Amino acid sequence: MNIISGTADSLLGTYRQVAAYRHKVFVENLGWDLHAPDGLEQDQFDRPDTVYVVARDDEGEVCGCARLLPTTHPYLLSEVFPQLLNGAIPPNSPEIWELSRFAALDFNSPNQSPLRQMSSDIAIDLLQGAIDCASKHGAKRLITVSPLGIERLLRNAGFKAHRAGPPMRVDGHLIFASLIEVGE
Amino acid sequence: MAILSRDGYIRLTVESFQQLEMVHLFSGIDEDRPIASGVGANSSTITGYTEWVSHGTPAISIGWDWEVTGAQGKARLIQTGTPGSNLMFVDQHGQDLGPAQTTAMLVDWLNTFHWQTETLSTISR
Repeated sequence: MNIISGTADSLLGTYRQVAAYRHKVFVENLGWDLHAPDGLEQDQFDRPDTVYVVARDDEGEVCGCARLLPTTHPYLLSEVFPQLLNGAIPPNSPEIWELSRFAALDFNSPNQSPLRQMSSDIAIDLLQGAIDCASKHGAKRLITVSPLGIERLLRNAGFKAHRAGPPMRVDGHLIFASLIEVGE
Repeated sequence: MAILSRDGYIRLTVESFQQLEMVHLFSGIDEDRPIASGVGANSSTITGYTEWVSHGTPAISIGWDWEVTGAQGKARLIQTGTPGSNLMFVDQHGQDLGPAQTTAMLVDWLNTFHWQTETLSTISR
């Protein structure tokens, strides 16, 4: 497995594979109600300045992805889920980046489940890759909206993270905002 | 009154925290965890989560995992793992005690907090 990162332009054809992979994970497997025509899942936060972190298996197939957005521009948490921030104003800082659309589901591996995805080695490597990538862009902390179960898995994997407020039920899913330390 | 820091933490002393009322928010059974079983074992383990908050905004949020144990024919919930929260305990001078010590103190508090009845009642509905 290898991990690459870059904007949609710099990733060339890989970006389309990422959008198709996201469709498979979030729409087909998790049943999220997302606008995804043509089997590609993308939204208003997939912009020219968006940075993607992509895990690919030995055959070059996408087996994980993450999206990084600077909080100095509109981002998922600030625009769609500000209520998860416990009354706080959404961060707007070059030192805080948002991590979203995180998935680490290897469709070529048996016994995979989207809800158990964070316990896999791919997930841990991908998250570390996203942290390293964000660090290179000047981030000191990541902020993210995640299913509640991710908190347990972040902790078990040894990442320094804490919740930003109480979880909420949205479309039947318990989600929460968390902050992950990027460190030096 | 709780004050939210820019890093998302609510900072207060453990003494101030102990005076707050925590109310039940959600509880549920884990639906996507493997049922624990061993070779030759007849038992299975039911696990889940429970979430509690303080009143008002910003709210203190604490959640932890649990599992069911049975003793003398009666189901009982015990806390497992470490709790997640947005709390950072501080000392009398306002200095952070750090995430590890805060978590350890929360676990101590959990041992005195009666959460099982409400949680069991919610998951039994």
